[in-house]
Amino acid sequence: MNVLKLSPEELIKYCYQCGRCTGICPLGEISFYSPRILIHNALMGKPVDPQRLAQCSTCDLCSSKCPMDVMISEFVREERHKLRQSGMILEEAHFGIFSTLARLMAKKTWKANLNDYFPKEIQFSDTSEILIFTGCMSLFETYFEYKYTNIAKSAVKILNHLKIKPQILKEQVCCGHDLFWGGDYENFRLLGEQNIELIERNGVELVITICPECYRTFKLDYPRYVRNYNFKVISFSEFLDLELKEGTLIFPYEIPRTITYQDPCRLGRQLGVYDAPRNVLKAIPGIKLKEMERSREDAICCGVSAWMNCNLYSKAIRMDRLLEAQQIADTLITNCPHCLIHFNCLKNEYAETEKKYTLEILDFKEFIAKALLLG
Amino acid sequence: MLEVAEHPLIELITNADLLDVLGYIGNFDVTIRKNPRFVDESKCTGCEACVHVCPVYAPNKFDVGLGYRKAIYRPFDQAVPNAVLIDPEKCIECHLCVRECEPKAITFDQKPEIRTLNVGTIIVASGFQTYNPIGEFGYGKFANVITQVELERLLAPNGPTTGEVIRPSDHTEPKKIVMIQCVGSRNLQNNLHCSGGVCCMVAIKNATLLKQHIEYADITICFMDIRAAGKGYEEYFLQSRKNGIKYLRGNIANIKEDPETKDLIIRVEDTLSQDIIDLQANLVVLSTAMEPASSTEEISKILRLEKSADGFLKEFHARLDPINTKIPGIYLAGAVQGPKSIAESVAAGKAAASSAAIPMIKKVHEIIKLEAIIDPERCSGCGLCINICPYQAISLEDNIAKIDTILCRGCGMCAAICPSHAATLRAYRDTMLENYIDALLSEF
Repeated sequence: MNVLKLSPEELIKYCYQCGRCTGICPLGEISFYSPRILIHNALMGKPVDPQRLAQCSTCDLCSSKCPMDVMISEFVREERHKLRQSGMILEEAHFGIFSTLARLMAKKTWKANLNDYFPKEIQFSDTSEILIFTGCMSLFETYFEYKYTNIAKSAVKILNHLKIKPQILKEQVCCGHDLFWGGDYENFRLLGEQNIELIERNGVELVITICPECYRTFKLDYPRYVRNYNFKVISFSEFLDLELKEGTLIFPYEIPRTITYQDPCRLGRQLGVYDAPRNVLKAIPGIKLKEMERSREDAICCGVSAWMNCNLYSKAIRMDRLLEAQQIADTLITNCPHCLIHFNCLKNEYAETEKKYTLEILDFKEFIAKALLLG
Repeated sequence: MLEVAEHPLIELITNADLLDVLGYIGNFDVTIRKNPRFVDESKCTGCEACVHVCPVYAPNKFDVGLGYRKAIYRPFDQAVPNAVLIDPEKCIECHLCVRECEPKAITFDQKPEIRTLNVGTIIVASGFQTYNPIGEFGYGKFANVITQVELERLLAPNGPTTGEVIRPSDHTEPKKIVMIQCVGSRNLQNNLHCSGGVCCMVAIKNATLLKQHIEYADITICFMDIRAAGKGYEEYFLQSRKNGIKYLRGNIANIKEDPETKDLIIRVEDTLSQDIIDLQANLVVLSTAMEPASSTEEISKILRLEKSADGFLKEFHARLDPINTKIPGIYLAGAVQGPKSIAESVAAGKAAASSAAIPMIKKVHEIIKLEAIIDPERCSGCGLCINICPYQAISLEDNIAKIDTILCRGCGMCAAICPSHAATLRAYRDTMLENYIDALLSEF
């Protein structure tokens, strides 16, 4: 993608107005949202409608279909940045608490407390060359009802099981993904600087991310918008896939379940990691991995990213997706904590009604930990 | 073709490959390999008695694989010469055809024949190929997605279905047909170039023909822009709209197959009304792009011709001289130079024939004395100029560069690269240019 290495503003001039983006857009199906009109208006010099900008979930399904490789999601991000610079405040879900916390972290006035979340049986090493970047799990846990730190704990437990004692940095801050996609470049750069400086100072060779949004930010956005760094970044599923190929990761217990896998937009379309998590899941005995009709490159997202656009439309996308998953499997595995938050939110909302969703929604890392009987 | 074959002054060599071309205008040495057809052309009457007994079936290339042919076959009905040939890859050498052939034309001992021809001029007309859309829009995955070329063979009276349009999955007549334009063209992934409006006109023509074949056909053409540029084209486009063919401005977002009926469901945004539509279709036809023939690469190397950015052979000047090439005596005809319709190809063919006839009749080729010269005392024989010369006009003789004055076009590449300043342009020597500059500056 993006062979010409042009900026999103330049790339939109390549647009043919062919309408492929709007035809494939999960929002275009249910609302009057149209990426094509967004680009057309920008090309005609009309002011961009802030509500439309906020609606986009930046899932990149449109860009993957675009004949001219127009990076529509990046264009949306740039436009949000411009709006923010002009003094406009874009509405955010959950009263903007997560962006506010991230901004506080960027200004070093507040810090998430990671100490309480890791029990003693989890082993760390302060000199290890492998770092596990846990992201914002503790923040999610304080706000939502689900035990999100379990995801981080499970990831570390799996690493311990593979006889790896990773390093964890208590001073780590948010990667800045949500600020970045909300158009707040200034605070994003501050966060990026802090993280890169911290990781480089501690002599880390390899950073394992457990959240696809952190992975994308480290891999694509830090080198382009913050600065280059001298460590490697890998996603947890890719790391497990490598361990699986080396033969160190073995699943001894049988788990008879029919599962399906939700490709997070950040990990799938934007970074091309489709096979690694599937390989790991398929290696568990007794597992039947079924593919949804819209999977891999055509997967639709959970409807929200960067806390920008939680509304009835994104809920409709989620309902559609959960029904699609429920028809073929009893468990939906996702790799992204954001997908987990959004799907669980919908599931809880309908838990008491007749339309309740019967399928179980689990995180990839938690599921693997369970398969290894690690908790 | 038949007229050409019967002309006393034209020798037609078919089933041959170009191996090498040396020399210059008026004196080209062309080496070709005539591949064996295992049938004596002079004896074969084209009665096809051998074809009937042949037990081996293979996909028919002329029908783009829709029909079949035998291992011994006539390529198509109007083939010139009117003789059969044997496909050595498919033939099992049962020799049933040898017994059947009355004029004893079949000989299995033919070998490839290398011939060298001395010719004055060369016309390149090696044509184009259509883009293979495998994997795009469900082509190759869904049975009822076909290309325009395949539809054209279905429509043809001498095609595999003798002119009856049927869908591949259940051989029924399609009622709802959707055509998709710009497949394999106008995108950054594989080909940015437009096929010159040819696919637009082919789609309009095939839609009009389909409408004549199937009275109640519901034909929709999904397009980005209709490029009906040419004499009578716009009127033809208008006529097709009058005939009831629907034009929908939008590119296909998604295509799905109904597993039971094998119908296709196409998601597309009608960009003019901003509606997102699910089109139902019995048959989907892809208008695939014209791209350079696979042989173009090899031919460009043998003939020392350049290629344009789109991969077609490069003409001398895109506007003022589209027939000549940078090498005098080599001319381009038809779609080897770029996507062309039939009318344009005919015009280019006639133009190439006329251009080639001029030096052949005049027996004179004028060259401009704007050429590079080598100072033999300075030349060290390093060979840098040989590699950089785009016209292959330089060779080494006694370790000194020698310039072929007929091939040299005076571009000055050798003069620029020569480390010992041995190569200069006759009319643009450094001292002359310095004098120009001095004269210009002296006015101030």
